[in-house]
Amino acid sequence: MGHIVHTEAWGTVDLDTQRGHVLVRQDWRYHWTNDSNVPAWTPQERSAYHRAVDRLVWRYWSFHTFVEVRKTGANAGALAHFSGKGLTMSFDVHRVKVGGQWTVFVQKIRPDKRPRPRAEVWFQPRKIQLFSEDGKHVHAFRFMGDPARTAEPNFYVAPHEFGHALGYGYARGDGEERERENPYFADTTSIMNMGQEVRPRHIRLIIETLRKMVPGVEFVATGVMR
Amino acid sequence: MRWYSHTILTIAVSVAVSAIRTSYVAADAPILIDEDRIDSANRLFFAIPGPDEKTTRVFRRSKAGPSMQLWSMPTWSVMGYLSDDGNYLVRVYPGVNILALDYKPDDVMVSIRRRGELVRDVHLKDLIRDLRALGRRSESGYPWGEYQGFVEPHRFALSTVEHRTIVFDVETGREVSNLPTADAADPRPRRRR
Repeated sequence: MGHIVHTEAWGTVDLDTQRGHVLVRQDWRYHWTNDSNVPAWTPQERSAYHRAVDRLVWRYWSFHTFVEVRKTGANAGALAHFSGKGLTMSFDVHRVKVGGQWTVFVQKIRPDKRPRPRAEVWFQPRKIQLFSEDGKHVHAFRFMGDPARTAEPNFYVAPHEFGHALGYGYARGDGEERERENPYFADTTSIMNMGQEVRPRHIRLIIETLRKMVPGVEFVATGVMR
Repeated sequence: MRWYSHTILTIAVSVAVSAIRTSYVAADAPILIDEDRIDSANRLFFAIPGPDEKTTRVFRRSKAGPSMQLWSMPTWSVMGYLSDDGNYLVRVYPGVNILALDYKPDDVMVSIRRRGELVRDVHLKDLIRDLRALGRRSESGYPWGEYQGFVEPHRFALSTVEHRTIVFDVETGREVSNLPTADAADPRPRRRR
């Protein structure tokens, strides 16, 4: 039993029981649009955009959270070996031309378009709206005059939206962390707030999926590798 | 004495409620910027915040020397457009293209100022004929449309989810055009009713 693979509507979870690794993959089918004052996307630009998004997702999501195997039952099989240890995690956005778990609209805008339009994710219908500038490093803050605002750029839109595509948002009761009434409003370095760091709470849906994949095994998200 | 105290208390509560409401709207609208500055499209003018972001200051750029301040006004928001003559500043909704979950029909979507003097506030109900047309709620809020900015020296345009392009004359604040958008195809999810 080398791999246990499970596909949900939102993505595929591949548990490698030999390496002790969890790979989460989403298949994105792009639709390319553009503002009337910019030329249409070239094939090279489309490829470059996808590569940039995939790289950002890899850089900010992979190997930053871990899955601890706390309790193994009778049907744990090879996972018993990892009891009390951590599984590593990585994330992959796969571009597909047909089908796809997500429909992703990317609107090309002038690089100097201000104010920047905001990207969106609709989790249930699995749709994403991104913009051509969403792979750039920008300043983000929660409100005008935010004392937590940083001097240096502190945020990428694309990996933040990827977090919503992993089920972290209103659709599952988590909301937006940068809203004042959110319990994590003060966690300003969180990638789902105005920062760049992934927290264990952001992968709750993956943990739930792992529990379905291997019943009887207790998986817990952690921020450190044991 | 009692009357005096009651009046002060009423004013204090009103100011506090107003402040809470303002900050809540802003908190619900993530702000993404490269620089804390609004440039006119021709780059001849720019607006920046004054001390503590409590004022807006508008300057003319100069190649020969330091930029010259032309005018100023209270409060600051980086969410805006500056006309190519530097006279008109159009402030827009802090969430830009996405309405907060607790949006109100009276939310100001466009605030037109001439050298700091209010010309007109345009509300959400002025732009969207039927609020049921708002897109299905995303993880961030409700998409309502997008700003196009200045399309002529004194004409400010935007397009809505009702597939209409609306143009305002910033000198008078009047709507001068409201026509179906050429490209009416919007593939994004619609709200279920």
